[in-house]
Amino acid sequence: MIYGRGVKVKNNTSNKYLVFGFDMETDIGSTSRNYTGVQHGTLAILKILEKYEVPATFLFTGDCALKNDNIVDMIHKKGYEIGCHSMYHEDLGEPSFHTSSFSPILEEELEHRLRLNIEIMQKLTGSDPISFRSPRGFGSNKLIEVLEKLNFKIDSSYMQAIHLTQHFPYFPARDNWKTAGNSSILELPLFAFDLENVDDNTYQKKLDQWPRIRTHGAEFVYKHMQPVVEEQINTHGICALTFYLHPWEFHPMPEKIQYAEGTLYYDEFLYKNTGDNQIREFDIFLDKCLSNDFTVIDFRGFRKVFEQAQVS
Amino acid sequence: MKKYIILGFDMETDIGSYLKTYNGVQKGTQKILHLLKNYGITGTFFFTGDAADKNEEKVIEVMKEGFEVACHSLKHETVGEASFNMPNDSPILEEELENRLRLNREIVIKLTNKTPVSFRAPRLWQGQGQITVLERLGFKTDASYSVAAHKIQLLPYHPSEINWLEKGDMKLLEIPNFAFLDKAHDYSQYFCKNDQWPLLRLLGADFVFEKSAYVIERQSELSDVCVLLFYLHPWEFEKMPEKFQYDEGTFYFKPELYENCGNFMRREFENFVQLALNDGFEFTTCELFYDIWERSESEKQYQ
Repeated sequence: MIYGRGVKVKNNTSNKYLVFGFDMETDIGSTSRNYTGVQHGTLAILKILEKYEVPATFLFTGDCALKNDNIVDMIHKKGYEIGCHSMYHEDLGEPSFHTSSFSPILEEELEHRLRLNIEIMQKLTGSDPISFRSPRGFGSNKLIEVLEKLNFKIDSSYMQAIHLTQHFPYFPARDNWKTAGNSSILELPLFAFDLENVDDNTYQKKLDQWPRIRTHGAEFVYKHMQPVVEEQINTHGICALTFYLHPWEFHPMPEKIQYAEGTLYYDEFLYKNTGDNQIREFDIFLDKCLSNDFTVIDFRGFRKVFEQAQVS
Repeated sequence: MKKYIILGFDMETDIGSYLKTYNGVQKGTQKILHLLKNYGITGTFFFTGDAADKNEEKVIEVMKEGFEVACHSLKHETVGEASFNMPNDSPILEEELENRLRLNREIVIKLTNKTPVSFRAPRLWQGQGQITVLERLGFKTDASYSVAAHKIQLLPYHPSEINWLEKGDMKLLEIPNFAFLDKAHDYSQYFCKNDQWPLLRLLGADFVFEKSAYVIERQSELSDVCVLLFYLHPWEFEKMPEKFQYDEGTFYFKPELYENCGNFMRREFENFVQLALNDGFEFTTCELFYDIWERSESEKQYQ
């Protein structure tokens, strides 16, 4: 099957899906104003995706797209899916952990900001984005309501490591987005491990997949995702593991950043093994998954698979 | 020549949005109110909507003592042009400003039964949009202009509708926060070059009092009414931490932000008040100063 323009979905008969979403934003989330990750890391990502001929979804903040239109253009021309990731990487929903963010967006501001994000992507790509991810995975009922209104089809903000209950793609309920219901948005949960006896407890979201390809390596992630894969196949007949990654992980990141009013020392998990290590481990991870019958797919592609599977 | 002092207190989270706590508002306010009452002087308290919402009793206390309750944005967000970066601070869009300032005002009205008429922008970061919204909402004074940053205006003025940095026809009265512009001294070791803040806390009352004489001298060459507008914070009157931790890292403040917060600041603030009273300064609020200034301007025209 040929997907997009020249991006092939391999092993299309498989029932094991990996969905990759890259959050295109400033370096290390929103602590910096720099886009060195987007400018340099993206090239490394594309090189690996092209090597294995697999698709992925790139979720751009409006600010990132405006300031890196060359990168948007490159990704778009290569046929990869382009989605939205808010205007400025602001807190859009209910915070699920403590950030240094000053000014969360008001509910009544959400729609306008996402419209701006959409308009920027339309202008740069000529097509309507249908996929979304909320910065830091902070979601809300209001967010789902606005995403529906703005014709998004897929959201990948739900963090299993934090909200625990949803393991498999679902349509959120309008009055409680963390439970299954009738909205038209397909939610792709960011999967978490079952690491009861393995975890070292040093990470904020200790069961989360992220940033373990980088910090623990491809072998670790591959090994520990197997129980998740098995469980999903037993329950649903197919498995779908959605990943979140960032171009800044593919470029060396600093341990600290200086501001007019002080210095921020990042926790180690944010910068550890960024650059060459991440490039190598991501490559190994894809190689390993593809040689074991996994299908790599993007958000829009998975939605089609999911709908067909539900119909049949 | 008549000289006034306006003490403006920015009622916000500790160390201006870095921390989520209100230790300064909760404990420091008491000490400020006590001092002001002791010396029979007044001041303006600029509350963010969030600070007012979470510290209702403080708003009511300030009002009951007869001091001015004013606005300081909804969540200490950036309402104008930022002059430096902070972690994770995404700007407010211009079209979002009016709603946020309306919400700020509504929270204050609910608690005081009085419409606030004065405003101060967080970090004194202004912009044409912010000035336009203040005018549209009927605010009378804006205590945001930073002389250290913009240098042009030394005295209160009505901004232009096209360029707020210049004099014009707006009803809004812009009251500048004074700075030490004399070149004889170099304050560049401090984080806000030439600014008044945070020198009262870092260098003490004598230094600020002595230097402010020069500011008054410059003003008196241009006007019969002189004014020193201060920006201070209740968190400076309580001890503040050197760093704070969150789920992605640890932020170490520059010493200027926390040094001498607490006892030293309380003492030097009191010393300054004494020095100013002995020197014939009159203390007022932004709201009261509006009338003083307008009266003096119309008298000037009459003459």
